[in-house]
Amino acid sequence: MTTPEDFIKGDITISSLPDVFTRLDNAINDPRGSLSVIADLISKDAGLTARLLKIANSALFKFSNEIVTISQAVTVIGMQQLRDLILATSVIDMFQQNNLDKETVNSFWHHNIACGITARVIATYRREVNVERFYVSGILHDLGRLVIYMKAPELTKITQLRANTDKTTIYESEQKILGFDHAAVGGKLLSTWNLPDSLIQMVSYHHNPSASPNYPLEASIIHMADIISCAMQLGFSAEDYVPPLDPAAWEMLGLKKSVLTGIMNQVDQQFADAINIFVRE
Amino acid sequence: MVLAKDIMNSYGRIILRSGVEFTEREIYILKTWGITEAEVEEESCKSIEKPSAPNIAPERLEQVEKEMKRIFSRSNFDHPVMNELFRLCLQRRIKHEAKAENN
Repeated sequence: MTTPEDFIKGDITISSLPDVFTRLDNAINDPRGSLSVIADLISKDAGLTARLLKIANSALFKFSNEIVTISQAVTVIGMQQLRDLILATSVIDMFQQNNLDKETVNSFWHHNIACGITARVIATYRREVNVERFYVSGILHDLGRLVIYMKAPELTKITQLRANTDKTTIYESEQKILGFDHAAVGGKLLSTWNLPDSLIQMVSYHHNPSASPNYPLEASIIHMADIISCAMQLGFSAEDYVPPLDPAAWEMLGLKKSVLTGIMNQVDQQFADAINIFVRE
Repeated sequence: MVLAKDIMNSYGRIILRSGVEFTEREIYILKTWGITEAEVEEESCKSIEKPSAPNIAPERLEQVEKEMKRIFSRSNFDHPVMNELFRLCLQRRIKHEAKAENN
């Protein structure tokens, strides 16, 4: 395995996104598409409907009234935002149907979901539009790690050992051993799925956000969210060390360090709820 | 607590002048304005700083701190943001530990 592509090609289980997401994406992008068509499409999938309603009624949104139908959810959350939430849900489901050790996979998702929540909270502090795209990018940021683990479990061990010998983080040892890291593999997978470039760059550059050609600010949000969620020890994704901060990324965020307390409190409030919705323990 | 710098809204209009004594009421008003931080004079807030006295055994406290130092050890700890994050995460951990011990 010498390129990020090698980890992905030829595997039909991960080379395409679930059908429901593709159909929904087409319907949302269709200028003649209507809210009722989209709501119908979602409602046909009972599991997805239940999940989305749970998300809409969770601590993430804190709406005062209960949301009971998908068309209500589309109205209050927004179509693009709902699509991002469906993407996150579909990918988590897709990767839970495998033969990997359940505890490892669950812990992996705990870390990624925590990162998604943190990214969303940071984006809210910055008053970004459509904060759900940060949520989904955070949830997908370490996907490359799971792919490497699925394809070459021994490689995960080797990079961990090397990191311990060199006293560095695993992504640095991946770069030494493979010439690229899990972020590149994750980015490649997202581009195979034809997802937007902003999402691909947020994932590909989450360890070196300043290098992102078009979306350094977006990548910086994921970078910071990854650091905070690692430091809060919510879940575990092969790495239990807090990765180093790119000082330029922090500058770009334009936040004061006094916001950290508020960010961490909100993450703590939302975490348990999100895990209940997304992860089958 | 005494306000150290004027608080202005986004149009530059002054909402509170420096030198004002801060009470719960001022904080409440600022919160409703959406203002989340303000600079206060250092001396004036010493009186409200509560010493952190968690109800956990000193040996356990030491263990928790050591573990937190370990997970931050491969990061750039010298950066002020990382330093603050470390402090907050340690505090949070200690709080969790104290809660677990009391239950």
